[in-house]
Amino acid sequence: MRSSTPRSFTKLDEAQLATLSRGLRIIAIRSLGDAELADEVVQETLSRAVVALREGRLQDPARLGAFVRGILRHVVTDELRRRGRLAGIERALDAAGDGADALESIVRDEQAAAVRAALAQLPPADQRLIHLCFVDGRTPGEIASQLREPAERVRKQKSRALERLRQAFFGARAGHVRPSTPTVMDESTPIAAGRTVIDG
Amino acid sequence: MADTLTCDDVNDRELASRYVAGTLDAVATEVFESHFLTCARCQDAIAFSAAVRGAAVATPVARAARMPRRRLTFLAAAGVVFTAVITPVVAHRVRERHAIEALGVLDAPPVYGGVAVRGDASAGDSLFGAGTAAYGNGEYARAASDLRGAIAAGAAVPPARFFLGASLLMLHRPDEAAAELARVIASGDSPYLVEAHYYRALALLQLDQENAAAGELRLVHNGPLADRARSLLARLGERDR
Repeated sequence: MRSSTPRSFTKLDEAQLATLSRGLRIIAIRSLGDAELADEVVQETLSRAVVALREGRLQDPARLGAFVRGILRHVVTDELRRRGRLAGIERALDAAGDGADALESIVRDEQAAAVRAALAQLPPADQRLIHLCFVDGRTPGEIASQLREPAERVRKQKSRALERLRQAFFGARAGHVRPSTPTVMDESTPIAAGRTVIDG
Repeated sequence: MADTLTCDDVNDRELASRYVAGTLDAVATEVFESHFLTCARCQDAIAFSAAVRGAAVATPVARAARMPRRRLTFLAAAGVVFTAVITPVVAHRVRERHAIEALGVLDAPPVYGGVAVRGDASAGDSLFGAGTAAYGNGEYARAASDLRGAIAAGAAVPPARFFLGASLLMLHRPDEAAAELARVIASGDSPYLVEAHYYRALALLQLDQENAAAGELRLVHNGPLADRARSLLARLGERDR
């Protein structure tokens, strides 16, 4: 039987740290549109998160993502204020903005090239569909409604097209492994971390 | 959207591609980000979506993407006449409204920089502390609930109402947010007064109340938001030309 008193969640193992680091980098790049600044913000966020966890400030492990995301938001604001980048704050606090394009930086060059080549091989109708979904952000249901096509047909068309692109993307990853510095925790400092490579 | 997600939800709702395209609303973004921070599989989906988006943007055929034309029937031809006369007027108004609403979009909340209450805290203080903690964690629904409780229990009104208004804004409830922030403004001079004008303006923009929003923005004379207020006013002014 479980105790009714919640136990604090106080530690992250290496795998959790690596996953958090990669996820934080995605959010930071999307918010800031600047990969270098995003890396600094990620490290600071992880440092604060580790300290907060050690202090037992997270009671429910299931809320780890929301907890760390909250810290990231504060770090982004603090960092930009510290640098006097008020325009940056404005951009970061608004919608994704330029960050949507900056997210491409989380993709390896060879993967990006493989997907571009695969997309160019698709029929024009499939290319248009991919554009509507991934650039305009529309769902197959919305597209089907506008085209007055059965939604299932649009979903299948998208699914077929994506399968080709997925093979290109993950095939390119399997063919090459980029060396990365592992993220490690150190006793003397909250976080001594190399960059965690986002390799898709 | 529920507070928690599964990877199946992410697939079913196309969240990765919509996140990369920047078309998720603030609440869905918050929930999805909270999920994928601890989910390597969904991070893969985002990286894949970013690669596809980049390829689609760079592909000439896709860049000129348009909906395929449908065959004209008699009824469709009649529709074309209607479309030619009526739709431009309606579509222009819809575009105008969406453009105004877009100016009011807020992806991240005003930052709570307060400190924990020390000593014996009242019920109102405790609820205020819980509400601002939830707010800091990005749990806006819980924050709104606790802050309402704090106000009912006698917590200091300007900060509690201000962060309640901010939470409601993040929850995409601009009408309620505007009402709460109006109460902050009505309570007179406080450290939250100028910010309340600014964030109320965003709520009003989301409600397509352009003139009222401009009135609030003109009252943001100083502080860190003054530049943003001037920028928004300039953009509203450009639209009027």
